[in-house]
Amino acid sequence: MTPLLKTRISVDYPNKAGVLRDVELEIGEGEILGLVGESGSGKSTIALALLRLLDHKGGSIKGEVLFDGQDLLKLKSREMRRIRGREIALVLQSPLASLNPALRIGTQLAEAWRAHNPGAAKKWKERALEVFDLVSLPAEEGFLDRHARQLSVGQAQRVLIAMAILHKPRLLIADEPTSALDAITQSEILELFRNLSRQLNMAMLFISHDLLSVASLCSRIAILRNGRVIESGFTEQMFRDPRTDDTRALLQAVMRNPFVDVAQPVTRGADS
Amino acid sequence: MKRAQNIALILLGLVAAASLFAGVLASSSYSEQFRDSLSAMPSTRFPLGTDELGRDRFARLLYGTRVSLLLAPAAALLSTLIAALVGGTAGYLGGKWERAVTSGIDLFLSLPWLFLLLTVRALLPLNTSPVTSVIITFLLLGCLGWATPARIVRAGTRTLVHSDYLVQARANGVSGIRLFWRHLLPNLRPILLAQFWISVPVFILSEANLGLLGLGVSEPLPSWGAMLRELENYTAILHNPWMLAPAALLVVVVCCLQLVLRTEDGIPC
Repeated sequence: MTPLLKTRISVDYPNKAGVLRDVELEIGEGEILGLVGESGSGKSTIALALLRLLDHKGGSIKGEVLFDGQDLLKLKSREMRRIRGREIALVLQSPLASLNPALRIGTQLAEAWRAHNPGAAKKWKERALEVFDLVSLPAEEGFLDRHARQLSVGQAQRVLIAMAILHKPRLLIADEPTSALDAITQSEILELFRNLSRQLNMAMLFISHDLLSVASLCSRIAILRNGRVIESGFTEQMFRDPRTDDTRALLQAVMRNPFVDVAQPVTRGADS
Repeated sequence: MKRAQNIALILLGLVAAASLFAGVLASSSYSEQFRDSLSAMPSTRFPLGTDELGRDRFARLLYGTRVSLLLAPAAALLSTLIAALVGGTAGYLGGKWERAVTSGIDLFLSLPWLFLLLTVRALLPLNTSPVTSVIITFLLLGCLGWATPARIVRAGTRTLVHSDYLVQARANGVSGIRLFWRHLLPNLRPILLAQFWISVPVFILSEANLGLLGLGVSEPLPSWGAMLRELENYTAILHNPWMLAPAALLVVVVCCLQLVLRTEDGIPC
């Protein structure tokens, strides 16, 4: 079976070459891949590069992004626009900054709907309330009249997720979607991603620096460092037997908890 | 500060009301000539005297205020629109377009405008009708004043283009004119409003300057600029200080506008 997304890309910025160097990723239909890396390793650049949204920053992409067999880098910009939001959706890391401060929530959903359904622009409200229900937001019209500043961070992130699944995309790219949230909201959003992925058979690229949330959500993990993938494999295997020193260092940095012995699995007590 | 602003606001209101009720406050029209009393001294009949053609200066001042106070905001609106279009597109498109527009603005601002305006005056027919002259003044002000605001709008657009919500909108499949019009422009509104309000006092002064060049509103329609042309005859000013009334009113109105637009931190909003 051919994977949904198979990519091998390099990205250069005008004043910074080699932001990504031959990064290979592969995501199967409905699969959740975790991409972990420290700040500045090029994680966010991957998210934008896959959707070809780097032109405003002057970034140039080389290589290939095979989505469902076709190379996205070879598409005309009009064809690429039809992929964005409809086949591949994006959720960014700061929910409140990702919503337009001058527009109502409803207007933004209507715009996102209209982008791919210009003929049936009126039906957006029906669909919006439907997806609001899926992401556990109040499915009422009054909520659509709100502005971003009237939402909590958690609500804003749900609105963005609702906007992302509006067209039932086959792949969702989530760039640090939980790093701006508190611990409880974080676990709720992770749960939401898990359910949505299953319900909609939607594949996900989950980008994060938080190894623990990645481990709880993803079946496979790729580790990014200085623009290269240094290790990738099944989550459990990587936690048990990291192959490179960098991964081991990363694991230790996360797991170093003064009250828990790293050698002992944390969940043992909860099971009994 | 707050109190000064309130006083300025009241003064502006009084001036606007006076110009609005010019027909009631002034006993004669702005163009009627009283040939028996040319260059008359102030009296109860003519509170500010008459000009060389025997026209009531008080009436002319009130009607002139009306013209100047309407013309400046209209021209400010035009120049802000041009600035939004030029600066906004340049910042939005980026790259070579942005460089081209920025150089264009720099070039535009470095032209010797005084001489060019004199050329424009020379090209126009000697006697333009009052209505045409108002339209020409409006267009001149609007087309001359867009460059500086366009620069500011371009810089503002540049920061907005990199904002998360525009990246998000593009990731949702929105692009082109719609992205500019529906997603970017509403966020430029505060910048555009500020540019508009800053332009108004500047244009009141510019209209007066154009009038002095003979490019402003033409006779017999009065405007502050047109009335200031009387001051060319400087020997007369010494004997008739009330001729300075339009200049004084202009200074008061521009100062009041500046005061009202000032925000807490001393920067015009």
